[in-house]
Amino acid sequence: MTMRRAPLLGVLLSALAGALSADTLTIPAVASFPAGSAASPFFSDVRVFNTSYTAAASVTAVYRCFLGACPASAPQATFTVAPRESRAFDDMVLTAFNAPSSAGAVELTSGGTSLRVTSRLYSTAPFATVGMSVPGLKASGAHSVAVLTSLANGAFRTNVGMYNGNDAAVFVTVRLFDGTAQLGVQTVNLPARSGTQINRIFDAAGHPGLTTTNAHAVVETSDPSLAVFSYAAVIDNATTDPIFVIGVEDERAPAPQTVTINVRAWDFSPGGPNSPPLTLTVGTTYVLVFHNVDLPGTTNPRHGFAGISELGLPGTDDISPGHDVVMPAFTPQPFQRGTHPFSCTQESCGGDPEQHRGMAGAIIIQ
Amino acid sequence: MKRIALSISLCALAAFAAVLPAETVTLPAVTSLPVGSAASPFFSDVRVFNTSYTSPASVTAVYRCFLGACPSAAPQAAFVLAPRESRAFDDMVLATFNAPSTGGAVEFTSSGTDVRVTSRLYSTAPIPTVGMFIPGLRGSEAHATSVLTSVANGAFRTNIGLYNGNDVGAVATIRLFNGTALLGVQTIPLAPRSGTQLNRIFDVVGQAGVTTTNAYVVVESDGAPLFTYAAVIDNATTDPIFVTGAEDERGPSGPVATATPPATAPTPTPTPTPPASAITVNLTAQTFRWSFNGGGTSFVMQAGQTYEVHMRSLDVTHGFPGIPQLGMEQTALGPTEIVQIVRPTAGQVGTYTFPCDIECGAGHGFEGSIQVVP
Repeated sequence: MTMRRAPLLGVLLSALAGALSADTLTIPAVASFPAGSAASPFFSDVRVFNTSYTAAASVTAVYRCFLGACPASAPQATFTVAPRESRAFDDMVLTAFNAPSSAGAVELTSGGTSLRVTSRLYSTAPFATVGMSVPGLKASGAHSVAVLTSLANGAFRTNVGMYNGNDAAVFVTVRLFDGTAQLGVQTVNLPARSGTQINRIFDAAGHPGLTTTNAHAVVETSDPSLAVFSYAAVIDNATTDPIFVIGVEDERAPAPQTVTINVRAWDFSPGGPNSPPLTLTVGTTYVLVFHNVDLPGTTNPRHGFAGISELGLPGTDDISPGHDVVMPAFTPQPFQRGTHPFSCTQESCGGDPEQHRGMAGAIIIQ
Repeated sequence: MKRIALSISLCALAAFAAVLPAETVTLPAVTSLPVGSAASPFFSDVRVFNTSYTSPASVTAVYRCFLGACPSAAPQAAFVLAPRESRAFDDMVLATFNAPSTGGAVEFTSSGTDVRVTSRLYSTAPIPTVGMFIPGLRGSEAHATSVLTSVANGAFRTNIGLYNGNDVGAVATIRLFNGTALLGVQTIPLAPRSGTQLNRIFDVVGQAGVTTTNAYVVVESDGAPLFTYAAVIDNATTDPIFVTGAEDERGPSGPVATATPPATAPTPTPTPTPPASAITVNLTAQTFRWSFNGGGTSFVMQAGQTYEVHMRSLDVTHGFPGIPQLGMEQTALGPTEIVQIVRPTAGQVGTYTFPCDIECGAGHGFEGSIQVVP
């Protein structure tokens, strides 16, 4: 039995080795914007090195353009790198792919694991030159959840980029934080083998005036089985000098905890005034759902929620039978500890304005 | 029986989890060199992040200083990161470790795998600011053999750095190539938990005149894996990029089996031709002392006499800052001899003091002098 299995096992292992042998390195950000472009002048000088002392490496480089004047189809270049050769591709997007005034990613695929790729993406204005090192990343450098730290705004600006090297589209959510405060959320759809860059992420999140040098962003795909490359370019506004922060693996956020608040004349349960206050914990993400439970025959069975701006909870005037109101997810922060009162906004709810005026509750953050 | 077996398995897993080794993330290059230092002003702003949503992370940061005026013992800082906290350490070497005018590495050790470290090492001169991203590296990113590409010289300069994060010493061999030409070799012993930086690697190997943007460096350890990097700096702006060493194949044993010309073949450094009557002077640098002809730190030259000064380092990279008044140029000193010709005149009578101008360790800045007499 063992003897009969061995050849089959050998074939399978051989096939597996063959399948594993092709290695793709991805440069997630390359560009060629000459002086006079809408963007600052930027160029990518790429170096491709073959670590083998004995075997040449056949390489196919594919330019995945997604910014600027992209060609209709993905330009390719094939070349061979001799043993221990370092091949130079200055201004690669222009000279190898003939795609001026564009930007994107480059995938370099070879039949083995001997390639090493480095690049410098640099600007020639206002100072010639300032740039950043953008390495060729292995597939393991892509993550379904990644965190980008050392983000800054004010004296600096930050662009956040993503590249989807999968053959399927994926939604990617970018959450920007300063300390524990979430500043904003952006969701983008990345087609297969494509990417995007959110320039001035603080502006995009509605916080252009914020000054910080210690923000972070979490980049998360909608499908945990699909990983994307992510990066941040943090740029000194005085010199245009960028650094390239590579997204590193992060934990996936726990699913929000849903809390249903049953609303009837004249009580929020939990919340008050008859039911106990709603107590929530710092650091846990919640989704509040207001659900009307007025008894049949109740006069004007419609209530409201005044909102709690300091918790980011909007108000609503329509908590009625069959119409649940779902609040956006929020995560109480340490500075939000304390009691946050709220009230009903429907003055004649339950048919009794006097009772309505007492329909007030509280959320306690502990 | 099955339940008992499952219980035993769970216990074993729990025990395994309890003894999981602490993880160390290493920043291989940090510094705090204020304005007025021998080198350009450089600073490191570091960020340490805890990815956990539920557990705080206890972190111990140890500064492994190996350049400049290093403290006698490795400074440490212990701190706790709350879940999802990003802690900022601006100018960490000074503010956290109180070690101004030094450089080295920082090791961050925590009991889990939740800590992520990033940093920006930047200069404020000649234009504020230009810098480079330096990531915190896991142990798996240290290699026994690594390659650094995108190495440049001419309009750029390149510094090569090594950090030995092991508890045993290592000897590193650094080979600089341009194309297939081996430009030079440096062999450097590294103490445990220590490192070094070879500034201006092309100068160090005696190839200062080479202009290239496509050189590479192979760093090979005699055993323990090393963190390696190249800082490739635009001379016009001082803007650096940080190239992290990537795993390389081990070279064939014995002589390098490529069509490798002698170290000086690709672009020979012009050797000055002294007049027949020149007096040869040997100037060596060794941590932390200059020595003329194997003796004192000063040398007397007679106006009108021609001297052929042979300069080199006997250990790590040192820097001769030059004596412009005598026409002597600034140069980095490695094991390869660099020769400069001097013929002081009567108008140059005086004493000229020169320090080491490349960070070389705790005694960096040591001085020598040349006195010109009528």
